[in-house]
Amino acid sequence: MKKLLASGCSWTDASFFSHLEFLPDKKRGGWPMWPEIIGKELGLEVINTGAQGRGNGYIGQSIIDNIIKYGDQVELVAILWTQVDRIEIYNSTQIPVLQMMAKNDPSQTTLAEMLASNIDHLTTIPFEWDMGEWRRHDIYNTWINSSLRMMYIVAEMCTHRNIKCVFDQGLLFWWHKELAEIKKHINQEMWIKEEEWLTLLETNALYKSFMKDYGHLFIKPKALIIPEQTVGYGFHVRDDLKVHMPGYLLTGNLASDYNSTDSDAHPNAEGQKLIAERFSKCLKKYY
Amino acid sequence: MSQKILLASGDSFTDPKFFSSDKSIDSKLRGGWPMWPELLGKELNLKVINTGDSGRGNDYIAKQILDKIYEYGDQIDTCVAVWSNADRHDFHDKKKNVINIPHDLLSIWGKKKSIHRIETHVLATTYAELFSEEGENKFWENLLNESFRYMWLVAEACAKYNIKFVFRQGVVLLDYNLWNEIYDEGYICDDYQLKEVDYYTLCDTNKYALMLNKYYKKNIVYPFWEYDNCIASITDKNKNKLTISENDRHPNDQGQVIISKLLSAALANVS
Repeated sequence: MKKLLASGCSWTDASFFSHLEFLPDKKRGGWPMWPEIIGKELGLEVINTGAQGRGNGYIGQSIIDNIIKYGDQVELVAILWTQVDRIEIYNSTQIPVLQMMAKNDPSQTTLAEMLASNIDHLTTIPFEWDMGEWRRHDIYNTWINSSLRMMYIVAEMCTHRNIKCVFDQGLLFWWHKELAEIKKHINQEMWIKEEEWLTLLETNALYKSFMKDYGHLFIKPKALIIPEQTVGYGFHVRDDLKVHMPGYLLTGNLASDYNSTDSDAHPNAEGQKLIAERFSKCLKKYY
Repeated sequence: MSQKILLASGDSFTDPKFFSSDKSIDSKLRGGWPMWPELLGKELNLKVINTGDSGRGNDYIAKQILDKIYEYGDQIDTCVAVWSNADRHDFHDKKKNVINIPHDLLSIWGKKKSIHRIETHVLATTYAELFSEEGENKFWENLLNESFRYMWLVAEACAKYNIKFVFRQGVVLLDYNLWNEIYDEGYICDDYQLKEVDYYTLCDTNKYALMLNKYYKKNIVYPFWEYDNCIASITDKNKNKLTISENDRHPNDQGQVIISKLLSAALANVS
């Protein structure tokens, strides 16, 4: 049976189970994730390496390893990429912005604390928010390059091997609101305005070549730049698509959204169906 | 038509800014000579892009090469990588974050005075803690796979863009003798012991390494993880003539000439 290789973060993780203990188990997880839904539709065996908290480095590497492992058995690669600021350290992932949020806001159980305590592959090694030998904005360029390079490599491998390939962006590629939350706690030389960040991305040499060569692989071609084109944006005010997001939290207020004692903004069973539909529509060009 | 490019990368064996840390010798003998990319570029009449940087690991080397290939594409005529140790990492691509695991850990354990570092890095401390706890049983497999995967990706990118390429190992891929000494001293637990036989088994059976041998045998020296096949084995054999000093075994000006000749011959073989 031909294979579908899928990867992503918690939005793709087949073992996803919400941290909200007050919810009944059947509302915390166990539903088919988008790779399983489209795999069934297409009659493909699904190899899903999605894992909670992981970054684009892991996502790409897991796909590369499976392309090599399964060779010409691979028919389709489908990836739901995640945020740019999740960085791999050996076999664990560091999320510097969330780490800083957790450190400086002990009054609430933040997502970062929850992730660090519950997930083995998330590291608690602190990120040093100092300039050191960095020039201004070097760190953001480094993060951008790490993600784009991985996307580029996967795209090249698939093209080279005639493997069908579709990309989508789940969470916002860059969530500036998160950085704004920690602005006062970081070296001000490391602060960046949202428009500056977007300029960094749009003028990045790797971004320009990647978009020219492989922008067409994205379901929405500007999903890395335009929030409205990501899957996550469509979910933002749809409590019916999330695990648990009471109406009063659907304000866009980041601190509230992350109050993990009350809410879990991950896609629920209906949300997973919606993601699968996005992929299915796009895959019509192949099937 | 603009001049085509020789893309080179590596660690201190390649770094155009290399300057020996051995203060006991005259500064003229510590660096400043043309490195192999510059010598080779002159010979081949190619414009040189040399991203070599002292202390870096294979992740940095590969990332630099891939970025340049994606940026310059078919303007690149030739690519040469002189690979480094598998147990060096860099995080967020920051030089300060480069970690040479065995050497940094030996410094932490007080077994070695680090001549490269002003401070002990938080990541090194974390590794030191990791190595003392049972539980990780695929550490070496994962670590070696990371280097092999990067080598394969660079080879594949070169092939796709019709770039002539040659890979050589500069220093040995992994110094298992050093890791055995560290184990014997009791600094790391059983899960992290790396026996010689295990090192060779992991390399011999790695999927990426096998594919490099299958598809790109002419571009590499197989098995490239053996000390005898790395450049350091040549310079070490002629250390009085080809290396900087008794304290610093980096290639000197003559060593760089020899490396350049060796790589030139290798390129002629793949043309």
